[in-house]
Amino acid sequence: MSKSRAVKIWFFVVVLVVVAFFYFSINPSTSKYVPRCVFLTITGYKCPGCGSQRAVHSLLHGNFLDALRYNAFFLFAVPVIALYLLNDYTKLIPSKVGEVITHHYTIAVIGILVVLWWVLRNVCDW
Amino acid sequence: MRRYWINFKGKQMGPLSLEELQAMGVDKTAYVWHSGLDDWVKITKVPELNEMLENMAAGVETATSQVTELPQGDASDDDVPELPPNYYGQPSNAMGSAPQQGGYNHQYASGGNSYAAQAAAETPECPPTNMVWAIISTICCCWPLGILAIFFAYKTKKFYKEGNYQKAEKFSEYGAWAIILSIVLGIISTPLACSRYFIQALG
Repeated sequence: MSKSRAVKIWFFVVVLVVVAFFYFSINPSTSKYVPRCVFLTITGYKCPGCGSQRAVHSLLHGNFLDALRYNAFFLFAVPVIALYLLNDYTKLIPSKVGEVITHHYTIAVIGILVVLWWVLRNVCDW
Repeated sequence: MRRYWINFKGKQMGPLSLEELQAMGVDKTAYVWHSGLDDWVKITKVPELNEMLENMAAGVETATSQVTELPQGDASDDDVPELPPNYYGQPSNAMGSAPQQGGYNHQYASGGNSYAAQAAAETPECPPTNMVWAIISTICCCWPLGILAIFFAYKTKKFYKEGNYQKAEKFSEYGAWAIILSIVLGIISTPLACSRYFIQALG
C-alpha cells in the first residue's frame, strides 16, 4: 500500500469516527446545533436525504426501526456506498460481483430508486 | 467480404471477418462497427451477425454457404483503411501501417489471441463513475444535483461499454462537477437555512 493511500484511508476513518461521535452524543431531533435541510426549509418538500441525521443517531443507539422510519433510503445507501468503496480500494469484492455493482444497469436502478423514494416520501409522508 | 470492428468485454479490435468473430466466441453483449455505419451498434442490430449469434446459440455450425450469402457489395472495405469512430487501438492488419504488416499477418495466421492481447494493452481503463460521492451528495447536500451525478455515472459506464471512451471521459467529468457544485451549494446554503430556522424559533 502506498503512503498517500494509507493517509487517505486514515483520514477517512478519522472523519468517520468524529462524525459518528458527534451524532451519537447529539440528538438531531431536539438539538439546534445540527444543520437543517435547505430544500425542506425553502420548498416545504423533503429531499432524498432528509432525516438521515436522525437516522444516524438512531442507528448509533441501536434503534434500527427508528432509523428506518426517519430515512429508509439512508439504510439502503450505507451498504451500497460500503460496497463501492470496498470494490474501489480493496480486493475483497470478487471481480464478478464488482462487475455487476458497477454495471450501468445497476447505476440506473439506483438512480430510479432515488427518484422514486424522493417522490413517494413526499406523497406518502414517509 | 465485409470486415467488422468489435468492442467485446472492454476490448476493441478489428478488422475481423465473420468467421473470426465466431471463433472468438462473441456474445450478445458485444458492440460492432463496419464501414458505412455512423457509430458503434449492438451486435444484434447487424442482421448477419445476429443470425450468426442465433446459430451459435442453437449449436449449429455455420455452413460456408451462409457466409457466401453475405452482402458482397462492400468491396471497397478491403482497400480503404477506414477506422471506426473513437477507436483507440491500432488496426490489427491495417494497410496503412506498412512496416508491421508482415508481423500482423503472421499473428493473424497463428490465431486470434494475439489480437486480444494487443487490443487489451491499448484499451483505456473506465473513467471514474464517482458513484460513492454521487450517493453521499444525494443524502447530504439537500440539492438534487446528486441525482444528476448518478445519471452522469450511468452515462459514463454506458459510453465506456459502447467503446465511446471520449464521451465516457466527458460524462465522468460532468459527474465530478455536479458533485462539487452540490457540495459547495450545500455548504453555502445550509447556514442560511439554519439562520432562518433560528429566526422562526426566536420570533
